[in-house]
Amino acid sequence: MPTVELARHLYAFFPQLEGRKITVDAATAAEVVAAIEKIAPGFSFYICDERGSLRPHVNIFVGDDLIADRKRLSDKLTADSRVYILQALSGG
Amino acid sequence: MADRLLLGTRKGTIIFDRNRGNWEISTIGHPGTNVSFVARDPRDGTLWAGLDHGHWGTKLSRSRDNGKTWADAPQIKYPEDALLIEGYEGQDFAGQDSGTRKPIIVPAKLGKIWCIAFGNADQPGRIWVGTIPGGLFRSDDGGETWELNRPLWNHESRGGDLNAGAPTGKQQWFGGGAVIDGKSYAGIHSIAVDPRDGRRVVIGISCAGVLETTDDGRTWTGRNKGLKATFLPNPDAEWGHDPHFLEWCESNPQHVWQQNHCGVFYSADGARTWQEVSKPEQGVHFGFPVAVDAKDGRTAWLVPGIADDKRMAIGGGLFVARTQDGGRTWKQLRKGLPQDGAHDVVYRHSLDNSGDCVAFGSTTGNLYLSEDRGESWQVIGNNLPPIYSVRFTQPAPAKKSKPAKLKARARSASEGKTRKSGKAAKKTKPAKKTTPAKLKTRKPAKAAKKSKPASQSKPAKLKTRARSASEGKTRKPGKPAKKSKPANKPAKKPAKKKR
Repeated sequence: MPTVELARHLYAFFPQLEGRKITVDAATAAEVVAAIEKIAPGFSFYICDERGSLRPHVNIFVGDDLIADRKRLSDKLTADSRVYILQALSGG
Repeated sequence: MADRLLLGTRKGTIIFDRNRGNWEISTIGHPGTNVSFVARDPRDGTLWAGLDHGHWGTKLSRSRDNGKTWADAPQIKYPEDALLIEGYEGQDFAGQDSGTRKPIIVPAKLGKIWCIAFGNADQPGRIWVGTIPGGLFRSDDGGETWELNRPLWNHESRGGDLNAGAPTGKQQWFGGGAVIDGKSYAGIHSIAVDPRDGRRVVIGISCAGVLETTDDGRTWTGRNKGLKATFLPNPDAEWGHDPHFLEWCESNPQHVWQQNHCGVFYSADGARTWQEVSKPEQGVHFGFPVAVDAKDGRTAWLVPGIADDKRMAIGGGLFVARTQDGGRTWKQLRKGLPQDGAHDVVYRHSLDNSGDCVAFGSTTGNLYLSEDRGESWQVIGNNLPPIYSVRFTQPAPAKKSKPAKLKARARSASEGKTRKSGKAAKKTKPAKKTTPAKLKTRKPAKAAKKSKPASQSKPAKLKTRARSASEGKTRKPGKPAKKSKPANKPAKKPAKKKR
């Protein structure tokens, strides 16, 4: 199952995620967010807006690659994918 | 006299308490987070805050233990079919409809929680929230669920019902609030609920103007007669006005005031007609906030700045302007305020009054207080983060002992005085303390948790008890909340050092 790493800042809002290895049964980036929402209610609204699009200053990487579909998060994963949900740096 | 000030700042919620005559920081919440507005629901003591996490978006947060711990409330989200006109083909901003270009219609998303107001005592659970991009949300169950007010959202002045395929009216709302992701949208910054009849609500929108409902939000009528919009080709247009903030007299809400982008306006007939009362020669013209005396609707305070091209203190000297005759004459109040090199700018929610007390906070992180209606001032906070909202309030009663009936009465007595967005009810008297509440105050965290689900089916009594138990812990003003570990936010360093 894909493993997920989160920006440290997110633990401030979802302390239940801190210090645990997150593995999720997910085939797309969207499914990763949905799976984490189940263990940390409210999580998806931190990552995506109410239309399900990735927030402008959040990035999701699969391996080393930024996901291509910021609108629907349809990027595919494999069983050994490593997914990173991080703050986007915009300048500075 | 109000004993507490709630501040929303660029780096958290900061609470000042009057402690033996001195105003000191007692509690810091949301450290490091941009807090756009904080208010206290006078009916049950819950604190509500609008947060902007930057990366993680806008969130509604609440505290049931007087600001010691905060948790995300059920969130405000625009429904899927809430559409807005983002601009027009060939135009890159949300400007006014020229009537010829094709509108670009997109789904609306929450940009900012700009103001929060509470219903009357006879409207339990009623909360209003004004947002950018222009949606007014309402809860009737104490914030458990939120609904977009459709009659306003589909108002003809906003283009009508955009789900009809094309605008049915002329879109006349446009950016004025804040820039979000490079685009500017209209936003609701003022909500006034009539203390005599909660079905009457008046709101202010930058930029659209003032609207009023008298039927609980079913229909809305523009109230912009007499306003000037000098940035429009037709300054007397029905729509497109830029009230910066609107407030009325709590005991006589026929007296309504607004600091507008284009001057200061006063209405003596409940916003039906406005009269310009600016006095540019006395510096009274541009600014953001206005505060109105709770008893005398002809008395108001402003903190003017240099007109919109500069947005600075006039001549480097900061002053508060006060009128006591409905804006015919103004007095500049400067005693105790910096008169040289001041760059303080005061935003629309950062001025408040309660009885003889007036306070304001600036974007340069200074907090000023007067206890004599503005005649003289003291600085009670320096080196604060930029301040976005300042509201007087009372700390919640620590202990409760009397039967619920009495409490309910005390609450409704305060209701009449608290119609402004979260404004202090100076006359609220804490319920008499007779029972030693020690046992209850021992476990504030638990109590807070218990009350969290706030299922509406629970008897009100139970809720009240849980809440006042948790509030009991906050009886020590002046004591930094360093050690409190919010349930879902690990304690961090006080934000004010992390500018």
